[in-house]
Amino acid sequence: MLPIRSVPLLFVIVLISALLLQLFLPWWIVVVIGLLAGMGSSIPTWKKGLTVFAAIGLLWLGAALFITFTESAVLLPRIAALLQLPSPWMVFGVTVLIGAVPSSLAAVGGSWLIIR
Amino acid sequence: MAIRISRGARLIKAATLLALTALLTWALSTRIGMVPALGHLTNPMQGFWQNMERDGVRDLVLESEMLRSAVTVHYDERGVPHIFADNDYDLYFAQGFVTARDRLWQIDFQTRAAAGRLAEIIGPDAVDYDRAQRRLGMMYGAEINAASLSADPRTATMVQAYADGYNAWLERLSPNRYPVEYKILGIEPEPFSTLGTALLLMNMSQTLSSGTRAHALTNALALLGEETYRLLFPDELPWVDPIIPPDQTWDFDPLPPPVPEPGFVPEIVRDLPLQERDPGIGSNSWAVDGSKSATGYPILASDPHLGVNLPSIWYEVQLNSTGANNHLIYERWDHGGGENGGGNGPGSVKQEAIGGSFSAYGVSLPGAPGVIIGFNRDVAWGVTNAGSNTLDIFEIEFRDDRREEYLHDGQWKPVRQRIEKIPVRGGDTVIDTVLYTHHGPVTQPHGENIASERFPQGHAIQWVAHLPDQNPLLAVYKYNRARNQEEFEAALRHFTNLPQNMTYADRHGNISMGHMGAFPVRFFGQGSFIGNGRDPAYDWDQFVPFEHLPRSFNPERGFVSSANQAPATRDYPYYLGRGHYSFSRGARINRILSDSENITGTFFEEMLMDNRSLHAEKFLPYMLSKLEPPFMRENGSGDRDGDGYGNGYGDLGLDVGVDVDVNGNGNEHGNEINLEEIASTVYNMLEEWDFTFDADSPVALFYASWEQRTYRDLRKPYLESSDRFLAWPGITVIFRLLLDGRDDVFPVDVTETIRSTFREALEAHVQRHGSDPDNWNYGRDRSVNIGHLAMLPGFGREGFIASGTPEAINATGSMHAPSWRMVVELGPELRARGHFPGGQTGNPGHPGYDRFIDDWAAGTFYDLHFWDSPSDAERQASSTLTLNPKNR
Repeated sequence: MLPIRSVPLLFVIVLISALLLQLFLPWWIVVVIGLLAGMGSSIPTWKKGLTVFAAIGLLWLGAALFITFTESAVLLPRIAALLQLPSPWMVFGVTVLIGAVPSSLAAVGGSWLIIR
Repeated sequence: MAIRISRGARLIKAATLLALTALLTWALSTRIGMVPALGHLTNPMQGFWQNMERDGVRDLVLESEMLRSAVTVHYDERGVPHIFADNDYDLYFAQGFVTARDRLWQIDFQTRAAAGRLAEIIGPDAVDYDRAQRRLGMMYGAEINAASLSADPRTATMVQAYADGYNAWLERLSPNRYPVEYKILGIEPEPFSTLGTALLLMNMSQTLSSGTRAHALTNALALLGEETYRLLFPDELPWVDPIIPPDQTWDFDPLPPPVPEPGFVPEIVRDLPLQERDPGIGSNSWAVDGSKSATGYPILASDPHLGVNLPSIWYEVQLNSTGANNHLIYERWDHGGGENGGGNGPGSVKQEAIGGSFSAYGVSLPGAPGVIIGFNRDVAWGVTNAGSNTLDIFEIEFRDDRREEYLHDGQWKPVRQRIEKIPVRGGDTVIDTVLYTHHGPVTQPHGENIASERFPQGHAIQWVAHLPDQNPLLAVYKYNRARNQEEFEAALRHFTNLPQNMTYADRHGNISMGHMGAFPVRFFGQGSFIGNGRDPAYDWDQFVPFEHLPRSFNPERGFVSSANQAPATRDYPYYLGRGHYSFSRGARINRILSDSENITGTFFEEMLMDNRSLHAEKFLPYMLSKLEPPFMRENGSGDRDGDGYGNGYGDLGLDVGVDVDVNGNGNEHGNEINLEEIASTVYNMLEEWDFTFDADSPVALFYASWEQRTYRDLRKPYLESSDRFLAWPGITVIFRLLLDGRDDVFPVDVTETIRSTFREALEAHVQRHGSDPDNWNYGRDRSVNIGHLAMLPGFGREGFIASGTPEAINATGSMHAPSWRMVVELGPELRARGHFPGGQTGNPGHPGYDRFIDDWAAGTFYDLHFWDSPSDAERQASSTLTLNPKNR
């Protein structure tokens, strides 16, 4: 794979591949995507981490917001109570972190693996 | 400046971070304890977000090769499916399909819970629950009942088609659309089967007919002595107006009761963890004939009270079938099939079923085909639980400690063993060996208590739910199609192993009431105490013949009613046991119906919301007569133990310590309070109170608290007279004795007890609800909760305001409540109204999930659309589902 040298390009590739692969693979595919993004790009490690964090986080946030505004939000307070969160809005934050943290950590780890 | 580190060190750093990431990813993909797998749960492409649904059109067209013809389902504006088919199979297939579409998880979970399979889902914590379910014979009974369902062509078709429809929905459901509870619990849905329906019927039996107090009464008789026992546990409860009018005569020759060997005295039960059950599971149902109605035609109400949860226990549905293609379904039963169909040969089944056009509306039990409570154009029916003894406990004499043989009828007979395998999430499968006598299973193993509310160690039970060849769904099949009294009667013959009082009304002007079920012919007292397992006189050989069951047809008084009270007076020639309820709801219903003329459906709706408690009406004047100022003259000295009894009032703080300053020097808020003044105010309010538990009543909750404390302190000396568990004397029995001036029965100063419980209740109430009685508010202060079926936090509806009390017709208690209120006005113009506390959809992510609750609590009824013409339905439907046959 050609190393990806541009942050915007990496962002787009991560976002689109996560969107497509998640249609038929479990959520943890985003961690695999993060790892591959870290290994297959040649930009500073911290930029890779942030890019993957932003791409997965925004993808999940965007999807969550889209569903919330096109469907009904009555489930959010229930999930907030289930997860013992004080506010339904925090469900968005938790969702973003659960997707973005492990995938960006994987990107950093992947980056460290290939640095020469 | 970056510090150069070696490649090896960097790789170690990378490997460490990646290992941690992998661990984190694993943790987020795994349910740990009851913490869900958060990655699966929260990702928007597959997790709970996918369960967020808006209101809207639910149109769908799909094909199934199981179907004979096209089926159309028109949903109305409340999400009630109205199914139109031309044969039985397609009809029940569609019912299974639409019910699964709304209630998949509920059906699956309740089936597993009934079967004793929760440890698979929950883990080791649920093993005791599972063992108790297995040992009660839930799976054993379900296997027997599944065989009975499959033996008749009609019910075999019903349950198989229903399961096929359920499975057709499940097959087309992608995992990201599985109900959210699956994602939270980290489990997969299972296909449904006839056994599943049988398990859900067992589940209803467990709720309705598995109660007995025989062991507690056995202890009470043995330990209190006969004289005290007779006073505290009379054969008839006071003030009860029986279901069948007392002027009914019984013109038949009853079967003679068995004669037991003399001298049997059951042993006192020692290791008994039993708690009294919550008495809140009761129901109301009544009907008036044309002489009392404004229309001149009968009106019927049905109001079953059950534990209310979300998703709701009921699912509204209308079934329509022309029956035109039934010959395709029942053809094969003409060739050797169906020989076990009871009195109906396969030929007659085919004749009956073919051309059988019908439309029935009402509520179904998710997981069971048919309409359980409802109406069609000609007839309407309602139910209340029968409450007669349907589960007996037997003392068993085993030959030795190997327990391979037991003594019966002078012979050592072999004990059968049933091996129950209980898979456990995150643990080894538990294997339990359950001993069975001819009566039934030994539910509590020797030397071990596994279920806190069940039966004594080493005793066997016999339970109506275990009887072979009983088929209540055949009753449902037939009464859904009944057009008159005769056809309804024919249906009721099959209503045996879920004993109910069945209310009936038809457009021809008839009303009736029957106490229906398989009731063993008993000698007096049999089944109310532990039975002699050696003596064949205790066996269930004969049952009260259908023609001898307590019945009332078109009674003179113009109405029939039931509220779980005794079915008949003592003149009734058979002994049915003593599991019936106290007088309050039944007497209130009968009083209103006796006093009313020109009754309308709206009047019935108001009656269903009636909050007047006849307990309060009877007890309060007596209790007030014992008070005199100064009310608070002595510090509250009553014992403040709670004793874990579910009294249906919710938490009255009976076990809360009270530290209000009685002398009025201020409470914890530093405000001046004068308890004597408050007491005087409350006394006056109680004197003026009309005994109704309206949400805005200031004193209703206080009264309940005072009454329950008084009951507690009066029964206590008896319960504490032994270290064994004793049955509790009923509250109405105690107050009847007091009202009759029998204070001498109680080894306490009754007047002082009532005064001290008043002081105690007042102090507790002031502490919990403030010092201004005008600001007390029954609805707000007690608040009602409807929990989620699997008790998921946030998935129920917490703390809403509702009127009612377990002793009023509107029996909205803390644990049980009216689960389906229905009023049907028969006649040329069929009009039906109803509601239940929940919603049609079981999806917590849909606004319809708990939509009906506020209207239910407020007493707002919905029009039930009886759409028996497909074109009418099509015109008015909100959405349409079409199921088309596919070439096989």
